[in-house]
Amino acid sequence: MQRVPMWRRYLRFFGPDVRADVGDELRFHIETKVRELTEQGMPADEARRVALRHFGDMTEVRRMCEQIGEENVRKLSWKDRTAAWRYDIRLGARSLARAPWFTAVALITLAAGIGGAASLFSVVDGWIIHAVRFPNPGQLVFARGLDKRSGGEVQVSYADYADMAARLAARARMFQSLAAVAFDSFTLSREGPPERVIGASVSANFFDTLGAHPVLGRGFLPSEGEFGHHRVAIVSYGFWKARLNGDPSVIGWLLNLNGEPYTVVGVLPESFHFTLTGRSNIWVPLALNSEERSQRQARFLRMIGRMKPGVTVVQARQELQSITADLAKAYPDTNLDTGAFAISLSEEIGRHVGSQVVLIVFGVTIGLLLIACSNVANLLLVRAVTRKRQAAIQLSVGASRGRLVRQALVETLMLFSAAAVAGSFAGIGFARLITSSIPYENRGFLPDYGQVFLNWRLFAFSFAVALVTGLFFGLAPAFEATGANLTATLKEAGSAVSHSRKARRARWALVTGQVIIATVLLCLTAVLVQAFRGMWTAPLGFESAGVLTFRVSLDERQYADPARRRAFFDSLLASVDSMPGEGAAIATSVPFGDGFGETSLRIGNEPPSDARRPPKAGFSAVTAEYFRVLKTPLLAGRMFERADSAAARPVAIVNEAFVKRYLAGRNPLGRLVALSAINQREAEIVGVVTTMREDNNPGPGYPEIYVPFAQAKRFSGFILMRTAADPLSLLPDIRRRVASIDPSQPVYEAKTLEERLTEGFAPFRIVSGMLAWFGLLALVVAAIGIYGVVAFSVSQRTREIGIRSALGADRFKLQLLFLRQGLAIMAAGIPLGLLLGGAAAAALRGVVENVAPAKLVGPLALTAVLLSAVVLVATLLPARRAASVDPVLAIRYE
Amino acid sequence: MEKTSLDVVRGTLDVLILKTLSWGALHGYAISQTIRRQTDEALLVEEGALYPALYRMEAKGWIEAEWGLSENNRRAKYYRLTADGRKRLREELKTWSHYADAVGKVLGATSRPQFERS
Repeated sequence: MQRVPMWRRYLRFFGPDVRADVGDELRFHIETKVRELTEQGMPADEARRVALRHFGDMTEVRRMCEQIGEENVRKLSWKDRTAAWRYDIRLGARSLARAPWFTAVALITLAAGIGGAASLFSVVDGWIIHAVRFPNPGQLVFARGLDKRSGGEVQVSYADYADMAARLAARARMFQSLAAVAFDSFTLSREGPPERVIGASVSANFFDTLGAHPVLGRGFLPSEGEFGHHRVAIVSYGFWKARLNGDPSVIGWLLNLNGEPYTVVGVLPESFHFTLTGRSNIWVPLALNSEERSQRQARFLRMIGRMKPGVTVVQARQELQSITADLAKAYPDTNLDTGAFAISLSEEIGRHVGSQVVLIVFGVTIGLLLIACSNVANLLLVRAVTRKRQAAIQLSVGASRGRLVRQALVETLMLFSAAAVAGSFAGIGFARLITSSIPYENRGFLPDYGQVFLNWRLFAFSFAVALVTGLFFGLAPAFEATGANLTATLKEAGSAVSHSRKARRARWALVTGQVIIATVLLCLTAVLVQAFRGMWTAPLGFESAGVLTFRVSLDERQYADPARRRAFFDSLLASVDSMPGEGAAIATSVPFGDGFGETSLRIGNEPPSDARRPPKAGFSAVTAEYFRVLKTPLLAGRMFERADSAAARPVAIVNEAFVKRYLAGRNPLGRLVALSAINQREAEIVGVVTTMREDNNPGPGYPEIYVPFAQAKRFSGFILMRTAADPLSLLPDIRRRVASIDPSQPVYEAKTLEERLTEGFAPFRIVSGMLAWFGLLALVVAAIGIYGVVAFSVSQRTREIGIRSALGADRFKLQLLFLRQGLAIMAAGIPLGLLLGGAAAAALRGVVENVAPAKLVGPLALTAVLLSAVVLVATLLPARRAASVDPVLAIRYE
Repeated sequence: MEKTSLDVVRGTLDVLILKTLSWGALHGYAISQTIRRQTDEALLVEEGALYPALYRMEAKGWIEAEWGLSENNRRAKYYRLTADGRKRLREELKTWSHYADAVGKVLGATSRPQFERS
């Protein structure tokens, strides 16, 4: 026989060899004919000649047959190949359906992991990372006023802003434009009860400065910055979608804001989020009447500037400072100590949301994804056992290695396609869950009204990470199986086929790793949630419910005479006090608002320990009813009284923190303190009050000293009113009353104290809620993984259990057998996890306040208990089942 | 339906092969000998012509081939009719008898046909 060359064999391995087949067939024809003829008595060589003659042109026939045959093969092989894939898909579907438990667990894990990670990434991406998307963000600077006396930030009056903008434009060196924004809230009356909407008044060039262009309608026109032409509004995309039904004909609609009709002229793009300071949903032009424009003392604006290309923030800051120095010379009455400073956009974002929050949420997400991936890896490794025997059979009947790998690939891909569908549903579900878990009153502070949309790019990313894991662990067993010893594998009966040591070790390592990751995650989330909770659960030192606050600022020239000032505030207080309610007060500061001043002080005749750094304390001037309105407990001495007038002897009230810091162990009452804030006059401490929290920092509180409002030189004050009615319903009446005293006097920053608290805590509440959810999710996914592995190892040893119990092993001992495995996982995973988690939490102390070593004990213990419980339950359930198996059934078990 | 080929030799050979295979699977040589015997060696002058026809019909899906062992234990390629082939055979038979009738009528006429004038 002719030898077939090597490459030919190779060809034949893949498909039929047409040339050889045609040759064989024709040769068979001739040879059969020759035999028949010789059997009839014809000599062999003649028989051959006759056969060939009868056959005709052999070469031509062969050529035609080969041509047709090869075409056939080409057509068939394509069909064959797709048929094989179709067959694999059917096979995969069947094998997935035959293991519903495996399929369900894998799907749940993947869906939770991928969907959870994707939705969490979406939140971080939407709210924080891309919260601010402006063209050339490097050119944007945030500018504030600077109180040179205290070094604190202040806002800017309209007159100062207008002068600065005009001078910058005239110099045309550093800035392209300078815009101003005042955050405000509006009462929106539509059908139903009026609603408070967070918004802002902005200079007409605001959107141009940011580089934002409405998707519907237009931006503000310069003329709309004029008082009287200002009743137009631009709404955020989220507001438009959520409150105006996303109606494309919205341009021209009237919105009733604060009782006045505003025409909607624009809708901002979805990507426009100005979350840094105001979380605004409605924007109106900043339009002041001529009187308001000239008041340099009414400081309520923040500024955003766009620098020219190539200008640095430092240069911009110097430019602003040189202008404010000019203004200080021009208007010494009001601007003597007023400076300015500017910071970059990224610095501003960092101040408001804190990059640490991003990092934490990002870490939690990665952790969740890791747990889900290791779960899937584990499940696939477990699956490889079933596959191993099947593969051995397939190999022994001649399946190729490629074929087996392809089958595993098809099955893994099918699982992941299903997981992609389930995961996208889960992702959308989680996004909705996050959205709905945000209290309604907080949504206004978030972009898109707090709605979370699943970001498909991030979904794809999470899916890809899981898929790579799946392919790695799904295909590795297929390769491993093909290298297995066939006879040995086949000899092992039924499901007793075990893993190679490598795979078993990999499985346990994965479970232990999962326990470690879950421990670290739980630790971190518990510590953070606790730290965040501390922010709003720590005692406030006042009662916030039912208190309305608003602010008035007097023009320093108009009210240069202290008597006039006093008369204004006296009549304002008397007028507001006569309204139905439980008292009113005026103060220079309000908790969770600004206005906090600072004073340096000298107690009695004690010489300061360091003359260059005298002791300092927060300083506020308040009227008699202030502490009663806030319901702040008096600890010693007395409150202020009406008798503590400007003419009377200076008195002061200090808080507990002040006593602790400066007067520890001494009786504060009757002590004299000289305060820089009242021109170094000495005030007698007459009372001690509980320390009030001024902001969301839950620390021990600042030392604070209060003096009677009448005894301080103040132009600006917050009015606080406690009322049983809805505080905001009083606002129109208040505006009228203020106007009746001085019609030119604006009322601004009107908010309830509750609103101020909500605003102060919102980001932390939301983030901590999310962290708690995802910590829980991580725990559940890890529990599923642990359960799966232990349950599988039980099912693998069913026969062994049957034999043992048939031989008389008692149930308890059998359970112990498996419990030992669980305990081994715990012993390996939890201490290491706690160690790492503790270290990570300790590292957080640098970025998140309120994480103290002592506070770590609780979360760490909680984590240890929770995870131990999970491991124990995941072990005990299958162990109990194993122990209760009927020995006869167990021995027969396949 | 595929247009029936009226190419006498090829069309005839196809239908003969189909008919021969309708009794059961055969290898190429057996097909050729059967046709040879039944037609008194009138039609299949060159046995080689059979094979391209078989390959073409296999491509059309009328017949399928499989390697098997012959009566004297040699590897041989056996052809079998498919469902399509069986259908094709019925159609060919119908067409063939129509054709044969028509031709037979013309050729067997005993008087000169009358032409209508228009």
